[in-house]
Amino acid sequence: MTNRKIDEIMESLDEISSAEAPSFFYTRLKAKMLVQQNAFAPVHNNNWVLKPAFAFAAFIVLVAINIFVITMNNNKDENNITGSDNIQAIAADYNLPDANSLYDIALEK
Amino acid sequence: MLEIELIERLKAGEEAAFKQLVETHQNRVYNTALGIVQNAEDAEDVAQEVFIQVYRSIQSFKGESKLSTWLYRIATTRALDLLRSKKSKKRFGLVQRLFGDNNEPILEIPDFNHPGILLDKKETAAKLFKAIKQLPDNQKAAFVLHKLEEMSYQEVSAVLNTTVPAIESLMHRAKQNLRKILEKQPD
Repeated sequence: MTNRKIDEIMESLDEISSAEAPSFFYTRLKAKMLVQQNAFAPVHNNNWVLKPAFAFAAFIVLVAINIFVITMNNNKDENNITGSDNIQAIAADYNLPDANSLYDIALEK
Repeated sequence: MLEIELIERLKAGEEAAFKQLVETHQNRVYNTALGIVQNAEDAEDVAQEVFIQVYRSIQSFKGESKLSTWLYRIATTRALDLLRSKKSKKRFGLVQRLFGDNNEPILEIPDFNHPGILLDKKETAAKLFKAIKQLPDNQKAAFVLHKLEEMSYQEVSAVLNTTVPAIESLMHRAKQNLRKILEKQPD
């Protein structure tokens, strides 16, 4: 490119006029600010279930129920009869024949 | 209205004051952004972000510089940031194209035509804007503020937070670089 041409290009901004902001610039700016405000604003949720106090209380209740159930089970185990005694007791309650009774009948015959 | 009074009203959160600030400075902020980013939509985005930042951080404005200087400083920084992020996205896109499967053609960005350029100078101005795009950030900012906003070196130095001799040097180097870039281009 020749020096004359370069000079011409370099001087092309000498009579430039300022560009104007697009129409309704302020309205569009306010709309953008509103969108950003909504996007970054903390969520004001009135749902009391999500409040930390409720969550903490619920957690305490849950732990208390667990402790109660575990304690109850331990006490029951201590007072409980053994497994085989339990089965025999059920069998007696329902008049179930003894496992060996079949053979007893065969022998009687 | 005095600038101090406007700042006080802005700090008090008065919407009318904010509207006045925007309407007073919107054209100059937009024009500065447009000169740097060379795209009307991006320039509007930058100008909007400038005013949003001013609205949010007006409490921290100590009045050490003029309000307009502060606005220009934010506009310049934001516009250069946008260019940087676009450049890195473009680079990433090229890498993706090299290693990816999609062979979509890269869209050629058309020459930028500033709306304030006279019709008979549109072609030469487009060439100059293309060359400005290739300047380093600080030279680009100084050149745009001086040439497009018609700021004095003193005003440019206040915006770019530097000294007048530094701006003189930046402008000298910017002109030299522009000539070098233009020399390489065909007629």
